Amino acid sequence: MSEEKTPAAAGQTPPKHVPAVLVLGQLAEKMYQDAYEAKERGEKIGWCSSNFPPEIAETLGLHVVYPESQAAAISAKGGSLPLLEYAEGELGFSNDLCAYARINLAYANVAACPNGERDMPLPDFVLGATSICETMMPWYEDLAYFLDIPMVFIDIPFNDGYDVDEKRITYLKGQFEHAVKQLEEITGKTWDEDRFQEVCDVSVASSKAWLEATSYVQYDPSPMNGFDLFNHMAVATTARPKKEALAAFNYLIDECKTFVKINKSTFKPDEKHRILYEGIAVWPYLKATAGPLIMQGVNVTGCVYCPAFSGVYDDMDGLMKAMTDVPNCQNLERATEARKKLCKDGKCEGALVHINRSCKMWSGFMPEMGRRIARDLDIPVVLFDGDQSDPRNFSEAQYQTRLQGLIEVMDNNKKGE
Amino acid sequence: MAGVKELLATFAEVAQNPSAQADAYIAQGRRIIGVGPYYVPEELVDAGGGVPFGVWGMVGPAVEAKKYFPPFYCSICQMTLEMGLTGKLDRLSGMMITGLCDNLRPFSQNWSAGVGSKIPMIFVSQPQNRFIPAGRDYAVDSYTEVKRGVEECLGTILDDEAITASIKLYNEWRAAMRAFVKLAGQHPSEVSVIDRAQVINAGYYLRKADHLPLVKQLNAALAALPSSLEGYHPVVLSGIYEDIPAIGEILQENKYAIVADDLAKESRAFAMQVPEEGDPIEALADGWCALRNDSVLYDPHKDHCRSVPALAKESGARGVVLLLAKFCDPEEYDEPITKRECMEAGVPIVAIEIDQSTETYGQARTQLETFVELIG
Repeated sequence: MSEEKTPAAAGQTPPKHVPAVLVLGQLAEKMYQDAYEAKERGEKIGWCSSNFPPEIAETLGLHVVYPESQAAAISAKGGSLPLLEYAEGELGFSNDLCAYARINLAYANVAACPNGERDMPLPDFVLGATSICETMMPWYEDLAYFLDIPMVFIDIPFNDGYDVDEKRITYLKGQFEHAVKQLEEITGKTWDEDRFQEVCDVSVASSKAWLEATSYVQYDPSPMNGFDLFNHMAVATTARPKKEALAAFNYLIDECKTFVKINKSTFKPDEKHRILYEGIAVWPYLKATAGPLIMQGVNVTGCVYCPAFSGVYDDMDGLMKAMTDVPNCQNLERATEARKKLCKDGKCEGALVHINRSCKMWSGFMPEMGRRIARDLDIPVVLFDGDQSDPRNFSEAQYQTRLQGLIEVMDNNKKGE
Repeated sequence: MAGVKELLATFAEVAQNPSAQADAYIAQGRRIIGVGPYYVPEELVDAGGGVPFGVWGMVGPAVEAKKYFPPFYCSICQMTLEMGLTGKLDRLSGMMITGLCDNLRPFSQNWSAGVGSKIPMIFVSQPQNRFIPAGRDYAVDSYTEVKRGVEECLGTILDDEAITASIKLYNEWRAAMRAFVKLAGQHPSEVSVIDRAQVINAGYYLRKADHLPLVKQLNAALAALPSSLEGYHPVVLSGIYEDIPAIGEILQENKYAIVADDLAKESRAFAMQVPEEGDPIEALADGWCALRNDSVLYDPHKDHCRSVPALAKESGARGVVLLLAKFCDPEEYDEPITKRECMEAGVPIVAIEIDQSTETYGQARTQLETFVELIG
């Protein structure tokens, strides 16, 4: 556990609190530095999709970085457009494709960000998996083609049923073993079953800690600005099998506990409304999307995206199940139930749904899911158009109008209570 | 034996009146199951006496479907949903839907939500990792479940013998279709671009046992004629589908001859061969696992992109017309690489964006008129 302390008794000077957001940010940064250093040492490093089991690379002692996290960071820092234009103009990719993919495919060809927003070393292999979208498959194939490097791939078919069935578990286990063999051949590293167990133990503990930390946003009043979770999730995505991640999440938990006790929050204004935010952040417009929420006292106390990057399991079958049972790989009924639970736990009075031009899988049944949530929970659900990384696909005016509409209905609902 | 013109008229009638064909089968007491893209094991439907009925959307605007889909989805999914929501598919006893791309995945859920209570979905889950035993095992398990779904929709039990017989029929039909594609390419004067599409589309609405004899007759009639390719511009069509009337007309007016194709709805579908021995479900799984060269399939070395210029050279095409289905991720990820491979191989290529809801193709006309001058 961390050394975080509640404020000391009167008369004593409390130790200076380092915000958890900084601690987690430093850890995310370290992942990139470690990969650069490994590359310098002549080790083979990889690019890894967010739902490829991180336990494999960690067990083999391989350093990997995550194109999705990189693309999000580049976009949040305003550097996505030149890379998108390069992907479309120089490489010839359609602007209908996922903006993360376009940014990353451009980066694979130019190996530098426009203004050094978030550089990372080029890979010697790529690790793709498809639970959250099928796009990962052709995207990573294209990376392997352009960089002339091997691809390791775990196919996680969309689950049309409510529960994860046996055939999926068996298929994933077979692929998991195959992926390990491929990586042993590619990198010369050797799989160690004992090490794998240790890694799994840390990964599960980290996931539990991350889920516990994200659950604090549900307190009323919340000790955190729910939008902060988008910043923290880079670590959940990339580092959860690492002990440093476990420590960082525990630090975040301590911060949340402390804030609850002293009635403090990283959400500065008074909480007037609490909402579910559905989908990925509009990274190029974080201020434009988070700002109006904060200004009007609307806190995000239900966030689907953030807890998505975790895995809690007891054994190998459980790990396979956890790999499948993630948002975007769940059928409409299960996905809707998950949102409804988040709304109830977070005491959400409304929902704001990002129809994300970049993410067909995430947005494809959102209108129907929105209707079901609105009907079953009797709360307003509002959709807005945006994009996780392409700044050309977002209208600030539309966002504000939709948000205003949501707030008005929530206000009226409150008055009617 | 019927002549080419009479046969083409028969195919055209079926292709232009799918509902009438469905009614005719229903009058025979058969049940109809819709089959969407891609590689659905429809042999199972045939084996149960049902009619596998191809549903790849239709040309027109999406209105009701927009209540379910945001605008940036492929028209096959949007328009198939539109057809389901507006009662155009009410004759179906079931609908087979795969999850091979990010359009199809949410489509399956929107179908279930909007149409599923009337026309149940049979979800066909196919493994992308087809080269390892775990992939084959998954395909076997999945197709076993699909078999159950088909049995429930048809109200029957499928026996192995019937499935094997259907596999043999389908293998023979696919071979005949491969032969037809080659023959049509050599006889553009007798089989226009639109005729060709109608022969193929009729195969989506007729039972294979009914379509095959007609195709065989047509093939025999064409084989007896000398090639009429002289004066035409031989090309390969690549993409998902071609059957947009406006595009067919432009190709036809500019005397394009389709000497081969790499279309998902056409030659990619006809490429599959299923083993005819052993357990038929395992055979269907083996047929799936043996598939190659397709944008929608896992392809770690991008062999599909390399296969397009190779097909052009092998078939004597002077260029490739890539009909890029709007919002089709797998095709859009392959497009730049296919273009690069074609350029390196010295094969001219032009990409034309198509969509079932697009009303005008002025730009496509200009592109295709320019391209025909380029390839000569």
